[in-house]
Amino acid sequence: MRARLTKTALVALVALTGLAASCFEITDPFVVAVNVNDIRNTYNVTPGTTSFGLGCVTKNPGDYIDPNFEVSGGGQLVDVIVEANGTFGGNILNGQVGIGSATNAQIPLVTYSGPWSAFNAPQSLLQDNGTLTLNPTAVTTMMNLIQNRQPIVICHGGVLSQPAVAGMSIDVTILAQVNATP
Amino acid sequence: MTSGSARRVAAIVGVTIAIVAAPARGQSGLESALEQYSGARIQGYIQPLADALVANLSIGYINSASSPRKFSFSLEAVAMTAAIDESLRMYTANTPDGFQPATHKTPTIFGGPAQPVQHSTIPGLSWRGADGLVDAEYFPTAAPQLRLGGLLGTELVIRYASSGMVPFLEDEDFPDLTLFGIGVQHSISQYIIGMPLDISIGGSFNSLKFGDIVDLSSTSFGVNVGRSFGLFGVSGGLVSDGGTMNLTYTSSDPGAPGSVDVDLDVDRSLRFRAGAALNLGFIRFFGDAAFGNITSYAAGLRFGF
Repeated sequence: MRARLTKTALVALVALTGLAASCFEITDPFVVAVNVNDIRNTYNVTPGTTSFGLGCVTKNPGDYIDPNFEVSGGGQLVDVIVEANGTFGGNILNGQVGIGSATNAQIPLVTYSGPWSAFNAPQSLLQDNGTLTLNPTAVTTMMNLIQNRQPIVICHGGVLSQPAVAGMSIDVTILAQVNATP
Repeated sequence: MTSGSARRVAAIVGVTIAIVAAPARGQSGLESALEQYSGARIQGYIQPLADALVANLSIGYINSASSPRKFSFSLEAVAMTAAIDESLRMYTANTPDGFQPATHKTPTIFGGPAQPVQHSTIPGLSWRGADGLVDAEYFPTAAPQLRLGGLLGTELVIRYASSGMVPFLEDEDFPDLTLFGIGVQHSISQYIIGMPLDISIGGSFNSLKFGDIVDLSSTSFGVNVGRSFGLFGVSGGLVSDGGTMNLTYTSSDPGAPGSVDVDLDVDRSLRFRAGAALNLGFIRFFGDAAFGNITSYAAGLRFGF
């Protein structure tokens, strides 16, 4: 009687353990939207000129995604922020942030214009106050570059309504997420 | 020492060695997910894990409502599991400041794959939360326990586990696990002559850490009533449990990057528990369940005398 009960209880315990284990699964693939915060650069404006740029920076995959992550399914563009530094009485005309795989393969990502002073406070797409315009086609290009772990070349330029003065620069920040598995 | 006693001691030592061995661990999926959230955004994603762990850790201590009068010693293996219902799988998360919509439904740690949310008026902008790490109907925990009884009608239970003892928690998913718990049960019926039922009060403290980023502590206390019928014993009672999960990590959330040190409370709740045991001398099988805001179950095997 006791031996039979022991066997029955053991079988029940093993069955319960197996049932619990079978109900427990790790999501595969487990995708994390990794924040990419390092696509940021400052572009100086040369005094006396009426245009700025074309300044370009290259962000290699190691700059924007930890090598321990495996990119999985592209990502998301979350925001683009433009901030003007220095005092200037003129306007920005045809400001442009371009993106591509090379300097000579640029697609406008964001265009912007308006009084320089308006950009002394950071202007972003998410503020949606009409100072920045996003080109969705370039977002696809950017995400393809990230998905393929290619360098991203970001170029920036524009025209000023009057000659620049000393101490002027423009900060451009791109906030994105890369879908990746740890 | 008789050959029977020697075999019993060898069995206990063998079980102890088997469950204490733990492999080395590295970076985990849980850490990778947490780092994407600021302290203000992380709660919805991780709170269900805290709730499930507290529900698990507060049970499995009670084998019987009676506490032995004479000295007893046993080693136990106990597994607990919490039922993960739909309310624990999805939550309403805030999108980044200025994003429209301002909130969206996204998975918790138990929720499965996430979907990006598109900005409602600016084509090309989108945002996405992390996938749920665990896709499970039940979230299990397991630990060995050492039980000492016969201390003036009091039983003391010490629980300890590390990563290697919990085979379903892989190192690429969860950081190093360290679990410590202590439970006490004291017989009340011993003071009441002629009491036909066993009545006891009990409590427990549990500490569970995942690496150096998750530090959960919980307490429980309750009252139990039960009775033995030959080899079988049944018990029931009320248990109150609650706790706090502390998270410490470095966030890469652009809205609030930097060090995060945040406490998430697991609100104290009252649950009804019921248990049964089959006592076969040296071996005892026991089961336990607690029903309330979260339902959790425990099953275990006890070797001892």
